[in-house]
Amino acid sequence: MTARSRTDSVEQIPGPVLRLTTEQARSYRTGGLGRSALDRPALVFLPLGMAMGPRGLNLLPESLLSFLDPAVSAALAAAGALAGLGLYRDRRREPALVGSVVADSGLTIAAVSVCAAAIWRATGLPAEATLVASVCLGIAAIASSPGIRNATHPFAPLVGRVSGLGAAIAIVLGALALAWLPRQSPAGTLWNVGELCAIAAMIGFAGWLLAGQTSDDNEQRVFAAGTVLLLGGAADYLAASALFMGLAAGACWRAAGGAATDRLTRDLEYLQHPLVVLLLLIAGAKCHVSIGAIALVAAYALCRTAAKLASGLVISRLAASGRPLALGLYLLPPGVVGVAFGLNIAAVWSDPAAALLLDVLVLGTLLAELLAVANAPREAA
Amino acid sequence: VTRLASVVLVVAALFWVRRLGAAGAATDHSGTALALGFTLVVALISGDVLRRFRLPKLTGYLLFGLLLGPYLGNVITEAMARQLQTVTGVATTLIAFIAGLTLNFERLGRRARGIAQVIATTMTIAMAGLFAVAWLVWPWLPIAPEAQGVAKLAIVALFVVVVVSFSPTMTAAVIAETGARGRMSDLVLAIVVVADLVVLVLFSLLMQLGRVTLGESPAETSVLARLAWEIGGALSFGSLVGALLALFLRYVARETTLVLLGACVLLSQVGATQRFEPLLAAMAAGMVISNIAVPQGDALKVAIQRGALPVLIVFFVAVGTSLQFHVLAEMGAMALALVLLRIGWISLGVAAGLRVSGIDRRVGAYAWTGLISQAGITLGLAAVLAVEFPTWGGRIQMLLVALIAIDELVGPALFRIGLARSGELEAQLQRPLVVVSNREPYIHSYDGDGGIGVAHATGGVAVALDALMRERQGVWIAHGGGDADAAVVDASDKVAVPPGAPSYQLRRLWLDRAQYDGYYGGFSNEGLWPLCHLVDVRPQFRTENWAAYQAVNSCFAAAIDDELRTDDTPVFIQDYHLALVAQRLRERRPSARTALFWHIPWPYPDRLRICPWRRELLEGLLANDLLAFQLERDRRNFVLAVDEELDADIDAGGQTIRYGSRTTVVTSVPIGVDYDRIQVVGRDPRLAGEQARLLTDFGLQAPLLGLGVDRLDYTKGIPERLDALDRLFTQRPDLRGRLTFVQIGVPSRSALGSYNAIECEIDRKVAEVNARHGAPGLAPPVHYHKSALDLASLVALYRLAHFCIVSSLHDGMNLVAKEFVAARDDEDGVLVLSGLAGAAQELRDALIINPYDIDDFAQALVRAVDMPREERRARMAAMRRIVAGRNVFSWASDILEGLESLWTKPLQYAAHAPEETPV
Repeated sequence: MTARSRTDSVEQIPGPVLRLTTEQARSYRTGGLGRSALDRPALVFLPLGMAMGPRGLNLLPESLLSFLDPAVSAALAAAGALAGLGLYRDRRREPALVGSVVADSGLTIAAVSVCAAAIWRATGLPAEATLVASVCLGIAAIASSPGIRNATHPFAPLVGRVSGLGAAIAIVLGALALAWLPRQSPAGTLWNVGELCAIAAMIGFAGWLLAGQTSDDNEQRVFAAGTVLLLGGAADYLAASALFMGLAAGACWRAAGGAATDRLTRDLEYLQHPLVVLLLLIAGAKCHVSIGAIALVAAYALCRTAAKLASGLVISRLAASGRPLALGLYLLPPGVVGVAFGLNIAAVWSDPAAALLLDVLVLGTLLAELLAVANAPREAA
Repeated sequence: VTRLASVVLVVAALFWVRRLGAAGAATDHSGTALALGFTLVVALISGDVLRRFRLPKLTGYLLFGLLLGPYLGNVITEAMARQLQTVTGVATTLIAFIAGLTLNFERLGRRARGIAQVIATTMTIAMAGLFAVAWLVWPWLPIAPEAQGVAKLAIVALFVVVVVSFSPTMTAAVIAETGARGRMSDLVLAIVVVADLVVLVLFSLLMQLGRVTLGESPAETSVLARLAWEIGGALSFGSLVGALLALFLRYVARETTLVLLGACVLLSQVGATQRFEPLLAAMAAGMVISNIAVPQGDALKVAIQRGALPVLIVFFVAVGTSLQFHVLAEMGAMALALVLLRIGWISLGVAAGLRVSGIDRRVGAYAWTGLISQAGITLGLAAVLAVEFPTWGGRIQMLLVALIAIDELVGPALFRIGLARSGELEAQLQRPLVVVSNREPYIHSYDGDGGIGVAHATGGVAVALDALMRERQGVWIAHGGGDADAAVVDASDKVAVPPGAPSYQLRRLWLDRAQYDGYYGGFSNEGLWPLCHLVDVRPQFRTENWAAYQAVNSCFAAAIDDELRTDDTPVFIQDYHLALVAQRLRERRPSARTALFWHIPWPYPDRLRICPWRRELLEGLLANDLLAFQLERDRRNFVLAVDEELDADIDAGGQTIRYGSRTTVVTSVPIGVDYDRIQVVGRDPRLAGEQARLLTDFGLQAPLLGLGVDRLDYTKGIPERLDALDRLFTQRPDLRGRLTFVQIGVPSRSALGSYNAIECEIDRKVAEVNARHGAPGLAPPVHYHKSALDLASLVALYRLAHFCIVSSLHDGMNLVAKEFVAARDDEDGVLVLSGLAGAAQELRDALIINPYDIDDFAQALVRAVDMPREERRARMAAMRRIVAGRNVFSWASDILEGLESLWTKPLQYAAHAPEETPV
């Protein structure tokens, strides 16, 4: 219609879920010493969940945690949907950026998986469980939350896009891993993921139609909540990735655009903060600090940090001439996507390795966040 | 059709998921979220369908649960229904919480004694009547026909107590869903809450009697202690939770939704494990907040209102899925007879209670309709009977399940009818409305051929109020300014509008030229307008203009008085031209209900002192029941002015002001644009043609376009804008020929000297910029179009523009900024916005400038031109969410509902809900 026609390069910018750290930093800012530590929700709510969980004060007993399972599915779907809504098209193709983020993902998966597999095998975990858990840990390590709180920082868009694309890649790879678990055949896995896409598109389209045709705020909110519950519920029912179902629906909404997409985004953002807090609390409460987990946490955090720093160099060279060499430092904070992925795996994979994986992810996220705080570039604040 | 298509998609997806799940890893516990999502989406649509048949939405949710539940359709399977039931504990607690929040002792006040008498009389008559009937027909009832003497007495008494029990949850849910407020709602809620406490106590005592006389179960000596624990413990625990929640709301007030949900989970879980009555505990928590921490209660009500609908849907669908259809089929006839008897005796009891208590019959005439529903408590008591007295208790349980099934279906529908007949439904908000403004929405003018044409006002506010009037009907009173206006009105100066589909009356007021000039051009626009805007134009106050202003305001008041059929018709007055209307109206109608929205800024007290008649203005405005400003800053300035100028009582938060014998609520409600209409215009296929036409007509060849759309007013900062553009082209000569700035200027109030001067200045500056930076063969730096454009053309231009400048020196809101954002569904374009415009308070992702700092302004323009696509998209997306969430209709309804709530729900109206942290 206008000169502003859209072309077809798919990129990411710091969409709502990916701005999580930035925005929550504002919410939890306390000022004074230790501010940067408290700025990060994972640093606040994961330990809080651990303290309140069944192995702590038992304010969140097992019965309550299982009662909250539907909310976890919905929260995961909402997080995925917001990541999908962050996808957009730009007239400029930037294959270099996409390629370098893919390289970053590969590097991170490789570094973390190999290290995890070595340690887990040494602790006597069965080979198959070791393989799956290690790859899943590597996938969870890809996600990072942009470590720039100031949205007008000149590097914020690049870091946001790298983080966003990384999160989307992590969600897609995670869905493939979850689909592979019960089938263990590439064709069956791909077919299953295709079916999930189709179901997510159907539910997403229904939600989009409904959000577009009502002007009542309450009804819009119900339709948004209902759609997210359907997405999360479908994933839960099929033992699939709720994050991926959400991502697929969010990408559909992004493509459809219009007022309905704006409303859905607004309502999801309204729901997002409580749901993220809930996710972190529940993940913390489900975490069990065991020797097996501790053995891997330090290695996980260090491998991930090293991989991200290396990725930063690669991305700086390939996709961002003139950008800082220290780009990797901005990609260090893991955010909540990794923990969410861990919860997703724990919900659908009945192997004891899944619980161990969640433990590692929770503790590893805490440690990685602390490392990110310690290494935060001065100008990032 | 859209909704139907959506339902089909959702159902198809559900079946697909179930088919895949059946083949795969689905477990019994994995369907909860799916059932909840399906329930929310499809039940809401079902409720809406029933609403069209004038039945309550709740009945739709119930029927949805019944028809698709495990006993009939089995779309919601038994496992899913079971999972759904687990959520209802929290839902029930939240509903009880809402009920507690509505029970305010101050409101019940003197009526408490009367309410107690109604309860006592109703329960006595209903129980006595049902007892007598049951005693007489006992041999034919399939319960325990063989029982005689004391045993019969005990069984009949227990049976009657359970039959009479009510459902506070259902009653509260109907009230919450319909939004009903008023004395009957309060009365019914109080009756069901207290009566069920009485039922619980009676039931416990009778159980003791039963245990002793029937000997089927050992007597429990600690029954009173247990009862005291259940009731007292629930009240104490609930009060504690309520007090903690109030403290949280007062000192933290973040994540209210999450904390509220947590409180409900706590009340429900601890209640169940500690044998507290969770319903009572939740109600006590709500009552503590509502009665002790009133401001926190108001804030919580606003938060709850946002989340109540999904909770109600889930609760009623869960109830529907649990209705056992086969029992109803088996014992339906007998249960129906019992329902009729119960209704008869209860209504008789309520009527007698009203007579005894002296409560106005008009208040309580339909109170019985709220006492029909039965649910959880009745079911629970029946279950206790079945467990303790298996021989006859089981038969009573069967009969009661059938009774509950009928009462659940009939009760909400009857209660809704009762609320409607008592005038306490939200529908009362649909009463005709009186809107009063200086400018009229439709102007009739003679065309060149002597015919009469009609033009529709195109401003966002006029369009929104017109849409509101089409829906609400009533009268719009305005000055008749068109040259053919007088030719089309009837004998009472009214004409039905909109033309072609009349739905309300436009009452025109005729003002003579001198009077109009003094009121509009003089006092309003030479005095108040510059007084309220911080610009370098001196306000001029003349005695003759003040006299004209008072006279015209009195004329408007007289016209309103003519048109008001009843005192409770809401009157919505617009803007600074009509500050004295409410006061003049009150001289004629002391009980009229008026709200005034002040569209422009309100000056700080030092500046207000320029006005010789400031006290009269303040007194005039305080004659309104509700006074609304655009921004919190304006509201604060007004309260400060009242504090300095008048001897008024101002509450701690500055929300209510008591002056003389009147109380005025003062609030801020930022105005929005008609977002949906702009989306429709934006998607019109003809828009591309309009864009092409504008490009051709305006001769726009530059690849970059900037845009400014303004009334030609000295507050809009247009000269400053042109200076900044001059600086931009000087700093960035590469933009010459590549950038054209389109300035749309709509002349207004040109007869006033200050306006004439600004028009001349703009003409001169445009010429200077074009002379300095233009060159033959290059696109001109500035294209100046000096007339109004319709919305379609504006949207076309908004979508062509790379950036839009709003550089007001001071502005109440500025809707151009919001229109630009609303028009950009491509999420492109940069808004350069003055920090001195009200819109800057909301649109923080715009490039905020200070129009007085030309260098900074020019730098912002450089940034707008060079801004990367991704940053433009992120900023625009964030602004669009804000603009979409606050449209002009929600602005109007916020004010009108605020006005209504002053009578129907005095504590319900909270000007400022606690902010949810946006993430």
